[in-house]
Amino acid sequence: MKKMALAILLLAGCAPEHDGTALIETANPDAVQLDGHQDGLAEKIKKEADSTESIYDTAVVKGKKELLVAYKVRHLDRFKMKDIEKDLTKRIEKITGKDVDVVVSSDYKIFLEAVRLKEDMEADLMSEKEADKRLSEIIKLKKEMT
Amino acid sequence: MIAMFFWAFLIGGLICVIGQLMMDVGKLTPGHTLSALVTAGAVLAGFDLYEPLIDFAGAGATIPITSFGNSLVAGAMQEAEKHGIVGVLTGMFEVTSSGISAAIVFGFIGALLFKPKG
Amino acid sequence: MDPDRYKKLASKYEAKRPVLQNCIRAFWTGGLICVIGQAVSYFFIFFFDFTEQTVGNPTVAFMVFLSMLLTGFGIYDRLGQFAGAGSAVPVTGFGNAVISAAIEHRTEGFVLGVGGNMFKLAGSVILFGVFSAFIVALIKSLF
Repeated sequence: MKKMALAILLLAGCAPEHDGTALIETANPDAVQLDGHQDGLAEKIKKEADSTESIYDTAVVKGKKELLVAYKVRHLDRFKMKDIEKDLTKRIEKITGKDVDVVVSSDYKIFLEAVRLKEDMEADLMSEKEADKRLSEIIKLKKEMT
Repeated sequence: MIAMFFWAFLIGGLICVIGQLMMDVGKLTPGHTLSALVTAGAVLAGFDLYEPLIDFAGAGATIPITSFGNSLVAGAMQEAEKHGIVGVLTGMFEVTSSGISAAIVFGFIGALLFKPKG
Repeated sequence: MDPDRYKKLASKYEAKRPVLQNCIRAFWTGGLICVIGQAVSYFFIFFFDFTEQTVGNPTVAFMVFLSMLLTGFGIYDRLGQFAGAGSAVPVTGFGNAVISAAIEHRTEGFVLGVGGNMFKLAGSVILFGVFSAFIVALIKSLF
């Protein structure tokens, strides 16, 4: 089964500059902060999310107004994903206060996009402003229902 | 992600086994079996049990026909939250549409392309 | 043959229905179809703007498309004889029921033949799905 997944990803591997391994293995990307502050808030939130027992991989992007926390849930805990989401949102909102729009997501796609954004930032492919815009797009994607 | 494939296989396979048992042991026709499974999916959705199963097994829960009942209920509930009781009727196909519309479109294309066998 | 003897004979053959073997076949073919569905949905997540939440619709549509090809070439019906519920329960089986009815009745014309018979087999699934969903959602939104 592993081979099959790899074959799919090899087919997928043509996608430029992203290898997509974030889907199969733990990526553990560094927190990204786009709001110009250096207060380490994003890292603090990443640590908080990582401390959850059911969560094994997190990606945090802090924009000007929005905060995105994407995470992967241990498979056997996926039955109670809704509770984990609620609990995590509450804990993070306690840290950030009310001015930040907190969005948490266990969706693979959102995780993948958060990692891609971070990689593009590191490769200097875009400015902070563009990155903030892309963050909004990812959040919009997350809110789509059908 | 690898685990997802495993659970999709297991849960999807088990739902098919339930269908097979209904046909072999319960002596139901395929039509009765599928109708019962769809209804079961709708009832499970009523107790909020089907969504967690999808979270857990992915396509193992969305591909079997039971998910049809679930997404009908999900669509209806989504609209009911917005428009009250009328939404139950109008929202029914909100989420499910693709299965039926795909079947209709490809059914017609199939009829254009292929000739009946024997 | 008198009816009593026939019944006895019939039940003798009925009992021989290999339930365990049927279940194993249904299990692995049904499971395999779901694994293909999972691979398709990861494909859509990876290359297109679909999330786990929204990927269900394109996945189902693609599976029905596959089902059309397999039905048209007569492969799905052969699979059905082997797999039983394993090929009937997944959404591809629903697609197969619609598509094979459409193909079968095309000689009677596109309006009365294809149009009128398309949902001959799958209609009951839609009926009971919609009606039970209506009842469930009604009860749920009232309480």
